[in-house]
Amino acid sequence: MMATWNIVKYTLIEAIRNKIYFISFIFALVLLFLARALAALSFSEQGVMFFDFSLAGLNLIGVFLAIFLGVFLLQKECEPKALLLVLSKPISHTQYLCGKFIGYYISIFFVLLLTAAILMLIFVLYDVSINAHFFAAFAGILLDVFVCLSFVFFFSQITKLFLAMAFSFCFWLICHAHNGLKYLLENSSETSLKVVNFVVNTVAPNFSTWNFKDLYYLEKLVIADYLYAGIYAFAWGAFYFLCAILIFRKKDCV
Amino acid sequence: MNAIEVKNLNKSFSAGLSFKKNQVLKNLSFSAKPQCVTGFLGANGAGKTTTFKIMMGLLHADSGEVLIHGKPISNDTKKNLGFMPERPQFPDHLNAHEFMAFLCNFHHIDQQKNKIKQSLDLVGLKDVGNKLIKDFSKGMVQRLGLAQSIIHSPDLVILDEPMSGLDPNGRRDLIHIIKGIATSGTTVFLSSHLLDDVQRLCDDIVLIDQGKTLFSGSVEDIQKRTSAKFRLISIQNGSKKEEVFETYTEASAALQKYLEAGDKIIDFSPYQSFEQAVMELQQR
Repeated sequence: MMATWNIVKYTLIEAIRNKIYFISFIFALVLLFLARALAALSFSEQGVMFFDFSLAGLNLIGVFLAIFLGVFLLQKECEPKALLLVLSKPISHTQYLCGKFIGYYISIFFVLLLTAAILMLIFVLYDVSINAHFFAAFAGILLDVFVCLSFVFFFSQITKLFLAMAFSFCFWLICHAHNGLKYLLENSSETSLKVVNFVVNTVAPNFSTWNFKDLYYLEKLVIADYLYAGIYAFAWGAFYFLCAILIFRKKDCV
Repeated sequence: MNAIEVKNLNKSFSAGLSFKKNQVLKNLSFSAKPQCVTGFLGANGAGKTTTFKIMMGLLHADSGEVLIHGKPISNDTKKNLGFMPERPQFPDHLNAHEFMAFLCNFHHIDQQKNKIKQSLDLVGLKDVGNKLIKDFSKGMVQRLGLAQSIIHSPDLVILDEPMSGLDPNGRRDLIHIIKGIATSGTTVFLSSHLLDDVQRLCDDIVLIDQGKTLFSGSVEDIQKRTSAKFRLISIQNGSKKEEVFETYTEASAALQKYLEAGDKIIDFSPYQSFEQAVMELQQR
């Protein structure tokens, strides 16, 4: 446990000193202001538009950070020569990967939290009401990043840098388009498309389960839905992360 | 009990998607005595680094066994083990002090600051502890690599090419430091291509070639095993006499005879250099 915590601690130090977090934060602010500008184009639903665009921006930043950290930084850290020094100490492969995962997730969480705090301030300035749905939508983004980071870890273990980035982003898109794809594929008589439908349903989590951004103006908050989304996200995240650990443990540091 | 016991180690790597496998280690077996400096020698590609990585649990052997102080490698055995890889790579974002602190946490070391200071002092890096490692020269990186391997005062230190890429002064300093570590009772197992350094540092030698053990024994033994000629200089009846013998047996018989006769022996040493002896064994 101490060894994992040590990795978490130094991953956070790495995060603080890495420019990518600062750049992402600035980019997130730009997206927020862009969301405000786009919302201004709307005739009557400026609040909803602003809410939707800004949270989508927040989600994108989280996913960008998850893909960048999980692939680029992790692969840099997991270069055999860099790993030799750490893994020759009393720490297992599993503890190392867990530490990296928790460290990256906490660092992304702080970037998102800071951006969300600024977003709330802007909401107050523009008289957009902040209700429980805002926090639920934010929690949904955190779940989205959690699952995304876990399959990014998985892809970074099975393939090289750019392929892992491309796979991760495409997979994230597929997961978000799950419902639409399902509808299209189920209504097709083509056998190959039915196979694709089966594969997508089997390996890709449905990210719309925790997409609560659209529910802003719904009055009732259904706790069971949120609970289900949490369990569903945790199960998929754990699945992909466990696969990553299994591969990492078998990997030779050549 | 031996500090290191390697038994029938086999390891092969597949080349890309090909089914053909390149066998790097072929039933490799050797041992290293405790509280000794053992040199691990072999040409490039002989399997030295692969063996080191298997010993540290960083590579999985196809078959065979590695025992460190009689136990297979685990987090428990790693607590008393220091390792310096060949050309170590450190994180860019940390300075030397922070990196050492990071590693100290794995060993639950008390009084970390003192321990780090001592280790950095020992390798001559006391003034650069707050400098980012990415700004270190090659020599400094090697020294830091050595410092991190001994920070927890391990019983056994494994050093992969510690002198590689260093200038003569750097090599001399590092040899001095390694000798100091060995004097304190720590077992040192190191690989090097610099045979002069190995001869100066090591008590024992393990020589491997193409994944097989060619020789395992003391530095003198390697010269006895080869066609080394032996030189015997003695004072007989007040005059100096120098003789060269073809074999160690002949030389030691003559030595025995002179000693019994009460002659004074000035020198009894292999005529062939250590380097020549190693090369001869490799070429056989």
